[in-house]
Amino acid sequence: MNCSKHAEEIGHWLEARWAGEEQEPPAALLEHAVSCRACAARLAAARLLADGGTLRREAPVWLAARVGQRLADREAGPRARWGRLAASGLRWAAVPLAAVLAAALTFGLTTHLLRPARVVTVRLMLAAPGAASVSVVGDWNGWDPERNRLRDPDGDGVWEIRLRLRRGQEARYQFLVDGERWLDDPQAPLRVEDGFGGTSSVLQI
Amino acid sequence: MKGLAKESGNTRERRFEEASDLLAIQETLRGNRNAFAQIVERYTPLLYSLAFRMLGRGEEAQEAVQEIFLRAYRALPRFRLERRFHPWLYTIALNYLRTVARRQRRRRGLRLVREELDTVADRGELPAAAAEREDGERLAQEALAGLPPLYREVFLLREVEGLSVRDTAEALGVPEGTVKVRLHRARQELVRRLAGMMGS
Repeated sequence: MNCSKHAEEIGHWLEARWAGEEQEPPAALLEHAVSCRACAARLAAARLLADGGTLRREAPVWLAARVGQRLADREAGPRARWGRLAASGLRWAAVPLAAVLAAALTFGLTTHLLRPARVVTVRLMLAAPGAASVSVVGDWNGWDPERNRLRDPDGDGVWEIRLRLRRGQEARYQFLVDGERWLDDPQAPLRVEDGFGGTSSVLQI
Repeated sequence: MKGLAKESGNTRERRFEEASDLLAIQETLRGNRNAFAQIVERYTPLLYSLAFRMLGRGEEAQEAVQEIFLRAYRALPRFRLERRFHPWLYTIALNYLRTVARRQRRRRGLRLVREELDTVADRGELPAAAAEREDGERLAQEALAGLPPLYREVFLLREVEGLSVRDTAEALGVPEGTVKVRLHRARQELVRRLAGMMGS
């Protein structure tokens, strides 16, 4: 049987599944799919479409927190938004001036707009023995846990990172341990509500 | 968070969630910002999944989810408390996603969006099985992306998100009969498209 006949069989099977018939594909089709990548792919796609729930995509663990951050920024008003734009170099095409400023910061025109002394190095540390990964997420990196990962080079459970941040900004942040545990910085002198009934640490640089 | 149940399933759980949504909305309207967090936690996974299937890109889906919640939050004072919240939220989501999807099509032409499906294989899975699953995921997404929007939305809401016919009809603003017809046509079209794909 050629592939077009098998493709038709896959369609019949899919329709039967949608009609509520619980049955496996015909044996000849399964045997053919072992050696035919095209039909194997069609069959795999059909299985996903037959049970639509398998097509759900899992949201990143930090997405709800980021939503909260944007809502909180909105509540705080334009000043907070400008602070985030400057810190994270967001693309914001609807606000041309902010986009120019953000682009300038991002593409290294910092030395023309800011004196070098206005950029400071900040060291953040967290004791997290047994952790497999630690990130710091905050205003300056768009709350993206992939951008600033801490390191524990000597394996003593103390993770650290050095960040170069613009002096004069106030940035909210949290640590994310093993991709799922959110922690405030125990050494942060200031915390604020995060819009979710919890708190974020605050860096005043 | 289990998300929404089909109408033949856990009706009691759905009723509990609806009551819980209503309380959270009332609290939010009274000025308790933290109450909206409950809504965000509950619906972020569902909206992300919908946004991903409509837009085909993880990063755009993440942006879309944030924007949808912003819009819902701004529109909350206009929400009528006698309504059910989740179909209303899905209406807002679909309106926004349609706009973004139209912009995508204008930018990319009629080329189907083949995306970073970055399927992660299970640790114990053989490479061939992982490749087959990835191929299947890609074809399924292509087939969905090729559907007319009216059919794709019904399929995503009913089959993927698991909304009832009633909730789907309310979210789309159409009669229940229309939902059933569009779903039938969506399925026919998916079968036709799948048969025509080469799978490689």
